[in-house]
Amino acid sequence: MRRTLITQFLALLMITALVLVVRAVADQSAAVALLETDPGLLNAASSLGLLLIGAWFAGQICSAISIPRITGYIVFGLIAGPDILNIVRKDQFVYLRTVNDLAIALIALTAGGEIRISFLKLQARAVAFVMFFQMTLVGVGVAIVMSFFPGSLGVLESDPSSARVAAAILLATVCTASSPAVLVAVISESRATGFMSQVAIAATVVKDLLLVIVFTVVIATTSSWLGVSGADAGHGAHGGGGGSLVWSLSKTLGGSLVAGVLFGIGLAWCTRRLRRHLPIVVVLSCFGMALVSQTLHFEALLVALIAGVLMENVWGEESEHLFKTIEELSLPVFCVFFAVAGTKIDLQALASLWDETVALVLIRAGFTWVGCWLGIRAAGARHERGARWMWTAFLPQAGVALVFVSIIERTFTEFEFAATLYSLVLGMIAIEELLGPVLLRFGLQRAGEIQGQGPAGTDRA
Amino acid sequence: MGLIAASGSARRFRRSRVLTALLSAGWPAVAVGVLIGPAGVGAVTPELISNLTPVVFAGLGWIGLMIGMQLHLSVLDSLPRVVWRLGVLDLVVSASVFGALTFLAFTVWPDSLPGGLRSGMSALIAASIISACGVGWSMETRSLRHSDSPESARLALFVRAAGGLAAAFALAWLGVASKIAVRLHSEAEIGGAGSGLLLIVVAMVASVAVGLLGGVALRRAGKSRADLLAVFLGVVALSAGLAADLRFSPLLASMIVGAVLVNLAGEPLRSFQRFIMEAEHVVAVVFSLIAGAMLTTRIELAAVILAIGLVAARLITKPVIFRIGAGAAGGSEGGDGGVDVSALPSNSPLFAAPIRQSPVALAIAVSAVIVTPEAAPLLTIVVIVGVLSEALPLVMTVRRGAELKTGEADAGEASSS
Repeated sequence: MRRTLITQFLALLMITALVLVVRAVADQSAAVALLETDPGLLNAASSLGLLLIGAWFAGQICSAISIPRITGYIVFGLIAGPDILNIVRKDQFVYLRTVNDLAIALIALTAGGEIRISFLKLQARAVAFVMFFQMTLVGVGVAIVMSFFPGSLGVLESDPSSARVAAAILLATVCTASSPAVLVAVISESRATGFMSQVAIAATVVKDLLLVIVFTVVIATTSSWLGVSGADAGHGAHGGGGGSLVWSLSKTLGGSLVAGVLFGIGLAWCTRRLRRHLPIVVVLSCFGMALVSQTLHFEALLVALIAGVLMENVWGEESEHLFKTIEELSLPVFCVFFAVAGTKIDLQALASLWDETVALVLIRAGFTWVGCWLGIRAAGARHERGARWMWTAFLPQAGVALVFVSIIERTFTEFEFAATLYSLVLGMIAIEELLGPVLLRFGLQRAGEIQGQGPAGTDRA
Repeated sequence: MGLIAASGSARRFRRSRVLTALLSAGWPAVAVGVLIGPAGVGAVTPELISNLTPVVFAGLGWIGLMIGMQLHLSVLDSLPRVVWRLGVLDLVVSASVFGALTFLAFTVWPDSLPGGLRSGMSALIAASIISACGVGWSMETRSLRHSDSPESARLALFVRAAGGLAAAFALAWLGVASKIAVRLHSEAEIGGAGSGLLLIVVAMVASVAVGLLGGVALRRAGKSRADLLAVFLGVVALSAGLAADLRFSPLLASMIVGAVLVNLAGEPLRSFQRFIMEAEHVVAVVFSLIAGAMLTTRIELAAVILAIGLVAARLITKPVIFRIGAGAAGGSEGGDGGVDVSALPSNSPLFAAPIRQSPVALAIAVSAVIVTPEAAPLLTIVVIVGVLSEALPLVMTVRRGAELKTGEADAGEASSS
């Protein structure tokens, strides 16, 4: 095993070194400079290849030492990203977006496949209560605690008094987001199944959909308090009155719903007729969902999720092959998606506000634990195996939080707190991304939901 | 489009020879690509195409890798000498004729040819790309066969084998010729020597290194299809991407990686080859769609004349090259793998097979456009040549089919009387 580890580590080093050498030669070459093509565009292809194969090696190494593979992907992305080796530069991010959207669609399709209506009927109370208490406790708790420390939020004395409340509420809303992608990846990688996995996936996915609405309302309200004009009210919804907001939201959500149903029907047809080409069916469908969502301003997550739920619950028999194929395809997609997420971790932001960031992570973790505990008790599910470790599923954060904080920064540019919140949240995401999967896997292990491993102890909430 | 083309319903369409020829060359997909692209209704925007660049590079890498994976030493060893002879003859003649024609056109009509070509590329670079597109031919033979005779089958096999080898030659020629052309074009501007050669050497060494490291990864991946897929896609994107970093041909770089992998990786790769081959048709259709979307319809008359000239050159040179190479002219038979063409009717459509442009030409043109968007008219020229060069063999096929039917009817009448 040690030899295998050394071989993999050396291969990883050599691939990274190879890309660095090639880039150095290319940078020195006048012949290369002659072509006026955007270097970010041309280098994006080698970055994509490096992220894929490098993350795969890193995942293998992590797996050998009993750490979730996705931690390996994220760490490799961090190393290859702008803050350390700068192989994947910021000017390449835009060209990796389509691949990233494809990954989101595939992950959401997987998440949709995990949502079984029959299970939801049985555990609807648990899902609803866990989601409600976790969201409320984290939201209200973080907002109250942070409003006592306006300095940490970057609120100046010259700012209006409402700025302190607005900043605290905005930060709290971001804190309620968690990462369905990390959850699906860890559960899929460890082949976990059981009460904790299923309730957590359902609650996380539904919560993130609700958050889209909540966040839009919060940002519209706070920008109105602070008198921000032309506010970007998030996710394709733009400011300009309540009617416009509702219309924009309805268009996004309704359109996503219809598109999801259409894609689901299409997928069912393809699964029946094109069984031999299922891997291609999945890849092209996910591309289709990503591109359609991008063009029509739909939520790719919702479109793919609806398609997945339909496949699992309406065309159960056909979907068996489809989800098996998705499982096979998930690995390269996870490698790219989480490695790209790793490249976006902002170490400078973490370093500049490390004490506030650590405090925020601890506060969020504390309220998450309390929220889950209350939710489980309220649902009367405290005797379910895995209930005690449910909170670990809500810790990881990634894309959704990042999107939210980017919108906040764009919307409140004129306020100092926007930049501070941005750095604070980036730092929090950095910690949650690195530690979240490890804690989640530990939780699943303790809950006895990882296949091939028995329950570790008796769980009693 | 890709999925429908791969479906059982579409397979039924391919029972028709004409539709087989059209579908296998991917022209309907190119047409749809044009329709949905910026030149058509604009559903696919230039921005989206730009965002898809890494994926297009990975697609080019996939094509290069598939060609490279045919280059197993044992397969190359078993190829008859006549196939090699034909491949080399085609490379030399096609590269010279098509390259010279393009160079001439760009020199004679410097002002009539598209502005992008004048400002972005020299005549030499355009000539190197078009000459590489001219090498080889389409390997589809089903639509051209009217006889099940052993000689017909052998000739069809010959068309495919030599076409496959020619595709590899075309990529090798593209990689070297375009780099030399860029070098010659830029010599005066950047001064110094050896930079171009260094880039070629670095690109080739990097490709071999990616192949070797890919081999290590494939062995680690074992038999897990998910791991094999991750490694395969990573290798494909990395090899094409590193080539792009060095402004080298992503197709050639990936072909080298494919050749290294197939000769070194052994069992793990063989178990995965089936998956790659299964996806071949769909990848081809998707690629044709992208090519269509990248195509520009705004080309000047000079470019159309050049395209027609290239088709005429194919009509004249390819059958001659083929007859000489196949062994008819030398009368060689059997010993070096030649084909006894006298056993086939002289108007057999199979003799016209080499007139049809190789599908690799489309990938070559796309690889040029993706690096230099100003070269888009070259893609249009390649598509015009491709479509027109399909026509003659198709006409021959239809006429031969009609002749055979008349013959059968006459024979039927004679036997009944």
